[in-house]
Amino acid sequence: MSLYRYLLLLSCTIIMLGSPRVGAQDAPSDALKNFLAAQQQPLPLHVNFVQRRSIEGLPRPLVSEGELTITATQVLWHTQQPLQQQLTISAEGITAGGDGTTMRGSEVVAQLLLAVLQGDAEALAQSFSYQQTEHCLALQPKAAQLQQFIREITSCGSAGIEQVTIEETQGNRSVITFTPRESQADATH
Amino acid sequence: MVQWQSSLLDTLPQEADPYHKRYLASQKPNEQRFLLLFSGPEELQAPLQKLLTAQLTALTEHASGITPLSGQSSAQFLQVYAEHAGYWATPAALTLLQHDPQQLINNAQQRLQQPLPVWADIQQDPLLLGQTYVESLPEVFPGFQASGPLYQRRQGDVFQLLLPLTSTADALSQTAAEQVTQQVEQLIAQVQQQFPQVEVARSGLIFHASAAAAQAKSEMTWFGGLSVIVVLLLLLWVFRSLRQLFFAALTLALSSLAGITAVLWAFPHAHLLTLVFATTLIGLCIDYVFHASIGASHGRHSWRHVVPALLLGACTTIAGFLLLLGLPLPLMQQLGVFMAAALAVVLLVVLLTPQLGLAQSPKPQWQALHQTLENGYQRLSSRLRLSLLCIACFVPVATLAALYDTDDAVQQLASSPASLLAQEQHVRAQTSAYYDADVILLRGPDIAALYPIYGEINALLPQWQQQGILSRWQSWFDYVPTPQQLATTQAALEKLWQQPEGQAYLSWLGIDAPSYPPTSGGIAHHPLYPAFFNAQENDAAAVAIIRLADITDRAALKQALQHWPQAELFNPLTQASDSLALYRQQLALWLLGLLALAWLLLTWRLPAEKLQQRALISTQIIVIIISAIACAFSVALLSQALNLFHLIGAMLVVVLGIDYGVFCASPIQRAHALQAISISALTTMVAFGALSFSSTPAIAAFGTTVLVGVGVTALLAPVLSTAYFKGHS
Repeated sequence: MSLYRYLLLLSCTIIMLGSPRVGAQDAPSDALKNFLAAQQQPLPLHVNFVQRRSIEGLPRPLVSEGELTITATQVLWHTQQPLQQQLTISAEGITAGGDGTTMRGSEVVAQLLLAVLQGDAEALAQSFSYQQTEHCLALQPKAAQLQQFIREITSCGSAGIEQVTIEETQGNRSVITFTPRESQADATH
Repeated sequence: MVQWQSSLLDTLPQEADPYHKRYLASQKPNEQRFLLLFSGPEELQAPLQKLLTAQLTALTEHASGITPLSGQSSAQFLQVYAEHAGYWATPAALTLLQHDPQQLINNAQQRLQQPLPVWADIQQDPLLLGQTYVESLPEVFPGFQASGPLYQRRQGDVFQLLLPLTSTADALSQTAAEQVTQQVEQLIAQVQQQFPQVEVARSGLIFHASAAAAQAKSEMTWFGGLSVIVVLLLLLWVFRSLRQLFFAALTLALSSLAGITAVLWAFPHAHLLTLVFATTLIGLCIDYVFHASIGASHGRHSWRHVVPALLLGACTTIAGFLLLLGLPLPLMQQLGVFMAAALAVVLLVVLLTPQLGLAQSPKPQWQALHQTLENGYQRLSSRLRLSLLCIACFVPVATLAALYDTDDAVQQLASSPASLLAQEQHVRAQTSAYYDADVILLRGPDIAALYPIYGEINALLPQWQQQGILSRWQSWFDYVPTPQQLATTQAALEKLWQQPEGQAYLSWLGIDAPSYPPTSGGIAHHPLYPAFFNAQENDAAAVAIIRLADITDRAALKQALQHWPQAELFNPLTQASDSLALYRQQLALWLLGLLALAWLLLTWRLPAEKLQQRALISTQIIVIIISAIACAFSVALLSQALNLFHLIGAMLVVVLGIDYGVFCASPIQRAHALQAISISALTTMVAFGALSFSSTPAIAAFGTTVLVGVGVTALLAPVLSTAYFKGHS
């Protein structure tokens, strides 16, 4: 599973209040394309995650954990602890629970997400300014509408998924750590 | 500094309802919003979006007051909900809070697990009610996703980009509408130049207002150009020179200057429509110049008879226009002052005709023609003339009575091009974002007094919808809770934090129960507040509105609203139409008053020895005028119902009729008078009558009335019998 795919999954889910297509459409650099290419892994992809979310005003972080499954057509975000919850992301949008109701304003985000999963670096470059190091990628949203909520998303990892940090404008901070699920790890090995 | 008004709002009667005026002046109804819908192949969406975003920056920097419609994700919008987070709950959340609070807690816990931003103060709003509230607000454009100032959606391989804009310009003001549309058309031209495959549809009153103005201007230029050529040829043929035309133009310029000066002196603001109405001065000015010029050309004896006729005709007309000051309509008052001052100057100038050496006799053929005409009229006996006048009056008046119909609908006054109407319908069908001009208008001394009534009416809207009275509405309480909901929410929350499930949730979060002191931020800075409420300091007239769409049972809604004396069903278009109707009625009264005044003045001053003789001649003149107006209105009714603009045309018919009558009743040789009357009538009919072919109903109404009315007056004026005072002939 590509760390970058997780990063995009998270960032695209976050920006549901606006479209990332707004803003300058800078072409992706070769370095970014190479980074994405290096993270490409065969689908479907299954990983576990632990999210530690620090919210301003709460004395301790909220911890949740679960599984993530990415296929060619959709992404399943399945939180198992402390409460069961499943988000489905497809070309039609993002749905929470099993009622099939698409969350408001999520269509564009979902379409972008699928494009990312197919290795579309252009969509990423359109929506974010980025600084790239050897193992990390720091992304700042370009659109003012997104800047109201997200200050920066940092993704770190080498060959596989390791950690994504989301820093919100309000001061909230989410650190999401990924580990390959056993079946996936076995397949990789 | 001269201040000109151009909005129709400024023409409203002085005693108009202050609440209505407040609403019209300060609200920003749909009509001031306008939309551009771009549709094209999917691959062009991104480059077009980039171009539009760049062009929009240039558009909003222009002084025409164009700004993108503020979206619901704007910082200012969200700030209001952040300030009230924990206080405001959606009706659905409130129901859960009262009956199944654990479900609400579960929802909040799940929400905190989602990788979505939390922008509210969680200590104040542990259940994230504020965020839920924002997400359940009505969509501005259902089916479209907000993307900065643009809204987008895809339908198969086609994308649609919606650009909603607002303008501070008054859409009913032609100047402002043209400025705005000019800027917008530049943007559209850029798009079509770079992306020819992209289709653009426009929607908004401002486009229609601008198109109507452009159409009217084009027609005025086209018809005006043609009529000028015809008038020039006519004058060249009759006088063999254009000196009379230059004299008329000079007199018109001087008198117009005097009229404008008088209006600016007498009124704090002058309205541009005054000038539109005052075009009737052209007809009168030409009439006086020709009478003076031809009268002076026939020698001193003739001039001595012309002067009293000029004085009587002009003074009667001036007195009539001064009567307009008695009407409670600012536009009519300004017109009265303008015309009285201008006509006084016309009179002064034309009285100097002999001294200025501007006497000019028509060519012999013109004189001979009118001598022949006069001979023909002379063959009619006095009795026959009177009978003829009676018939000429009775038949058209009876016809008018049979056909009489009025329509003051403001929509009838202009016509939009078919392509623009098609675009309008297309955008409306695609967006479902429009409401009708109907609103429930609440009125009171201040907003605080209106607020609870607004809440009561709002609570009944779903019920009225179920009863089939109306289909849709847009209410302030679609965006904020009602006072009752607010109180219930606070009580339920305070109760929850005392209960085990509430305390368990707070313990899970690790925070104490929130308290609920009064919020520091008011709701008056909500971006949508001005769209629903308006009140001014130092003015005890506050209004609030609920927008409506598709009222199916207007009578039932009016009846339902009778429960609140502060509420009424109000439609600005109906109100504007009512104003036009009032203007029409007042102008009709004025015309009747003018006829009565003219009869009195002519009976007093006509050059006949006996009062009975003078009264009989005056009556004949008034009958001729009534006959001409009845004919004109009857003909006009064949194409459209009568409206204000027919009455404006009638104004010119009446004042010219008085002049023609006075000159025919004066001791001037009738053939000489007819020479001037003919040239005056022909030029007026050509200049104004051409407008009857206009596709703009208001202009056509004016043109038809003048064309027929002046024609009939000129034909009937020589029938006037002066046999009872032959000594003066």
